Amino acid sequence: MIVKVTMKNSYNLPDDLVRGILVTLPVKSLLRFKCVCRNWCALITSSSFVNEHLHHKENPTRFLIYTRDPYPYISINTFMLPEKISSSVTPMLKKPSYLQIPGMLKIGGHVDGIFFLRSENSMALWNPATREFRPLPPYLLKLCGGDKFGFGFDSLSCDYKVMQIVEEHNYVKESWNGLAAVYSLSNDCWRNLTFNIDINSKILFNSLCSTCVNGVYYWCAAKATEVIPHDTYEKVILLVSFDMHNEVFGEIPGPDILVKSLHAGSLTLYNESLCLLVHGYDDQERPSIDIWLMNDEKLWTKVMNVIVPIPAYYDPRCRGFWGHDKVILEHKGQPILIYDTKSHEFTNLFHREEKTKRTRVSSYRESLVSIKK
Amino acid sequence: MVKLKSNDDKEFEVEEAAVIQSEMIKNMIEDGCATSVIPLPNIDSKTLIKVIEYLNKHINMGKAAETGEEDDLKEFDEQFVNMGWEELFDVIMAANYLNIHELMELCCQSAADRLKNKSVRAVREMLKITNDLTEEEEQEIINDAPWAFEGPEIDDTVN
Repeated sequence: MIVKVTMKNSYNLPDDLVRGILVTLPVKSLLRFKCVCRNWCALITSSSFVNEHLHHKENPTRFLIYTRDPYPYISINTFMLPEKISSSVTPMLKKPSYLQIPGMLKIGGHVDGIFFLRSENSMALWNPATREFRPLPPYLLKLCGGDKFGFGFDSLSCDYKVMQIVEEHNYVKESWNGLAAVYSLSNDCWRNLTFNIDINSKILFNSLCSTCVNGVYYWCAAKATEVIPHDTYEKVILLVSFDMHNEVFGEIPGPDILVKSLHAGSLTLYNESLCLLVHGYDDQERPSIDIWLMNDEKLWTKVMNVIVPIPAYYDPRCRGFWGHDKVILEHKGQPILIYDTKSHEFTNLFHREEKTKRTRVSSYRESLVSIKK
Repeated sequence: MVKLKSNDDKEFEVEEAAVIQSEMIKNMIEDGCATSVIPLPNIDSKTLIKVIEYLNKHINMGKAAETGEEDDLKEFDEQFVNMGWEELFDVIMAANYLNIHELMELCCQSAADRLKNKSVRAVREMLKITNDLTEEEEQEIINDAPWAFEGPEIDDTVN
C-alpha cells in the first residue's frame, strides 16, 4: 500500500471556506469530489455538511411526478418537471432512466430526498440522487390488501422509520383490530408495536405524501356514526397520529365538519403544514375541494376552496400542490392537470394517450443522505 | 468617509454608505471604534482595491431593482468574479473576514460553477491539492458511485 504525503491545498483555504464553495454543488459533483483528497472526503460525508447541503438555497426544490404502468404493473415511472412552468403550456417532462424503478409498485413516502418503495412482497429505500437502493428486511406483519404505511424521520434519534398498520378481521368477535410494526433504519429491523386505536367503523387512508410534522406522523381516517332517530350515518374525519420517537399511536379530531363520503378526505402537506383535502360538491354540483391546515395547537383552519370546472363525472382528485397556489389534479382517464387557483388556468402535464392512475407528486431536493448498510 | 489600511500600509478612503456593507466595519462604526484609520492586517492592497470596487458598485443595492439597474449590477458581478483562483480566494477570505455576506456568496458561487463539471484530476491541479488518498481508498469511492465519474459533461481541462 502506498501512502502519499498529506498536504493541505497550497492556497491555504480554510475548511469553512471550502465548505462554503462545495455546499452549493450538485450531488453528482460531490460524489466525484470525495476523491479529491482526504479532507474533502471527510467534509462531504460529514452529517453537518449533508444536512446543510440538503437545505441550501442553491439546491432547488424540483418536482417529481410518479405513476405506475398500466396492468401488469412492472415499474414506477418517474417524471421530473422543469423548475418553471408557464401556464397553459404543456411542459417538457424529463424521464431519466435512473428515476425508473423496475419491480416496485408504489412510493409510500418521501423524506429528505429518500423514497420509501414497496411492491406486493418487498420494500426498499431509495435515494435517486446518490442512486443508492436498499432493500428492507421482510415484513413482520402479514400483508393484506389495505395495509397502511408511513415513512418519516425521527429527529430525536436521527433515524428514518417506516410504519405499517394492518387491519385484521376477528371472525369470532365479528370485529376488526389493528396491528402495527415499525422499521428503524439505524437498527435495520422491524418491531411490533401496540396499536391501541379502535378501528371498527373507521376507514384509515394512506397519505398522499410523508405527512410527518414536528415529529408526529398522521393518517387520515373516516368514521361513520349512526344517528338513531333518522337511521342515517354521519361521517366525520379524524386523524390517527404516531409519535415518531416514543412510537405511540393516538387519535385527534379533524375539522369540525360532516362529509358526504367516507373517501372525501386525504392528507398531504402544504407549505410544510399538515393539510387535509376534503373533496365534495358545491351547491351547483360542481366538484369542490376544501383545503384545511392544522396549526401547532392541532386546530384546523380552512384556507382555500377550489371549485374545479371539470364535470363531476370525472371525479377530480387533488394529488398535491405546486408552489403556493397551484393544485395538481387527476381525474378519470384524463391528463393530469395543474390548476392555477389565482388565474383559474389549467396546464396539461401529460398528453391524453398516457392514461395514468394513482399519480402522486412530490417536491424533491437532491440529497447526500446515505442509506447504505 | 472611512479610512481603511491594508497590511502593506496603504490607506483607502471609502464612503460610509459603501463600507457598512461589511458587518464587521458597520459594528465598529456603531461602537464608535472607527474614529481614525481601520487597520486590516489580513488584507493586502490589491485585494482591498477589489473589495472596495465591489462595495462602491453595490451601494444602495436595494434601489437597483427600482431604477432598473439590476441587469447592470448582474453584469458587473459577472465581470467582477472573472479573476484567477488565487485572487478569487484572496477576495473570499477578505469577504469572510470583513463579513460581507453577498460578496462571499458571489465568489463561492463562482468557484463552485468553475468546479462543478471538472474531473477529479482537474480539480486537484486547479486548486493545487495533493492527493493523500491511497489507491485502494480512491477505488472504493469510485466503486460506490461509478456513474458520478462518467458523463459527457465531465471536463478534464484545467482552465
